[in-house]
Amino acid sequence: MDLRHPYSDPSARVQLLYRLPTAPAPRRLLVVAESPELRSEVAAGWGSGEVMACDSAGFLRLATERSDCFDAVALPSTLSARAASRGIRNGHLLRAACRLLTPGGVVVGHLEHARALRRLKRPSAVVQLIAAAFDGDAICGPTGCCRLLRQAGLAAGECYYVQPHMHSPMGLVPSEAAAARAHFLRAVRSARHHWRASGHVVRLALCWAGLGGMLQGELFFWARRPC
Amino acid sequence: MLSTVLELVDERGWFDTATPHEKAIHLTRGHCLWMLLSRGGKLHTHVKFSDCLSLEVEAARCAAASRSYPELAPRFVGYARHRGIDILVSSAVESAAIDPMTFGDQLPPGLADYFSAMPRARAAADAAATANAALLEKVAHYFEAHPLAALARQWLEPSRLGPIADLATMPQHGDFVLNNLGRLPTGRLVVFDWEDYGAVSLPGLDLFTLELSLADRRGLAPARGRAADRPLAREACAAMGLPQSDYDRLMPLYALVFRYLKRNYGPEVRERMDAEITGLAGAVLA
Repeated sequence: MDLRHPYSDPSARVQLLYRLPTAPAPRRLLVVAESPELRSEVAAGWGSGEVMACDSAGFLRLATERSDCFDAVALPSTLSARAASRGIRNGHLLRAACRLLTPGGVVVGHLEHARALRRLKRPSAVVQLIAAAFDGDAICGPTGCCRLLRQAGLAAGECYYVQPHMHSPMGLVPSEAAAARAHFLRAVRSARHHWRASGHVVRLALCWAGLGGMLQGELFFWARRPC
Repeated sequence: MLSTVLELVDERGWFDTATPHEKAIHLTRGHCLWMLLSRGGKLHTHVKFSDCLSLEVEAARCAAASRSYPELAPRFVGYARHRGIDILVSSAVESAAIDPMTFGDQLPPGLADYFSAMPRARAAADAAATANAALLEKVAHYFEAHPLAALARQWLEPSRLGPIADLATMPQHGDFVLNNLGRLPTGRLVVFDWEDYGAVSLPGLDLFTLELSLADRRGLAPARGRAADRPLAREACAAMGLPQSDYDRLMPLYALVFRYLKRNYGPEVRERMDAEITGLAGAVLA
């Protein structure tokens, strides 16, 4: 690793995001992801503390057998924008995380943003979004994410837009309406020379309307099990 | 990491985290992160933090800039180190980017103030020893084993460069480019990113980097020829009390010093700057 530029590697920045919310000592981490690559990536950046990894089916089984045994649960791409993805509901996963966490422990993760414009270019994504609007378990945006975190018994939930994307993250944008609007307006104005005039105007209009979040394809969240 | 930062910022009274607020978190490709704390979307506090490197020197430089240019630099609030995390806090300001096309040939009001205040500005204590002659030695040494070694030797040839020991010392911003300038809603100019402030006291460096970035953003070739023929350079030299002939002859050194200051940046930046410097050969030796 380049000691002066430890975050020059995109993977190091992903790992850094997963370390942002402070986990209590002794920092035992459980990484839950379907992809073995994602599990290794998040686990590798954890530093000191025990690390265990599994897929979501294994995670749900584990939560029936044990409780209060992890200080952090990472859910990289584990929750779904769609309702009941792979037959597993988001609410079940979050309740399992809450059960496995020690008091004060943190759940942290990222997922696809269902309302991202880029995603909505696909007709199937539009249909999924409409279906998700009628399903309390689906996560369409940051508000829905924070609601599900609360319903699972987790507290102090926060959800951000990832800028520009999780493959090479450079920032987390707050999802509170006024802050998000102000942030996206600033970002688009300061990068005026990056786009043609028409592209700039469209982005500016979206941000003025408070829809700047639709330009971002992923959400990042965290919450704690109450002490 | 985040809880530690927020607790410390709150404990020191720099920002009340108990009152509703929002956080925008920015990653960098270097060794630190920064966070903008706002209330209802209105920017309040800028927090830079790192779990890899100390920000102490940078904090001293930001504090010095804040004292020397209270109208231009964001207000320095504080520095602390706690549980292996370095935290540097300053006020956050809402500003708009400056359009290079509206810049004009004359120095805008805030910039004229910057250059005229420069001879009286004071750097942080760590920069006091960086005299111009010592800087020249450091730069020459740095470029000895560098891909640009041949060009650097040619540019730093004493007969070409002329004397620099008797030049005035004026702490420079060090990265005085258009991206680090902004305009407040009141119209006042603001200058960001003072992490290299005073690392170099070579008068004219900031004017050189400003001219370079203006030309780049306007899609023009770098300025060449005599400062006397460029109103902006002429006016800035007069404001600093720097003879135009000195500014003209030092251009090769400015280019190398600018690259030297970026020596700890990532490989992308360094390679881009090397290409830019090679491209400057015609302009700086014109």
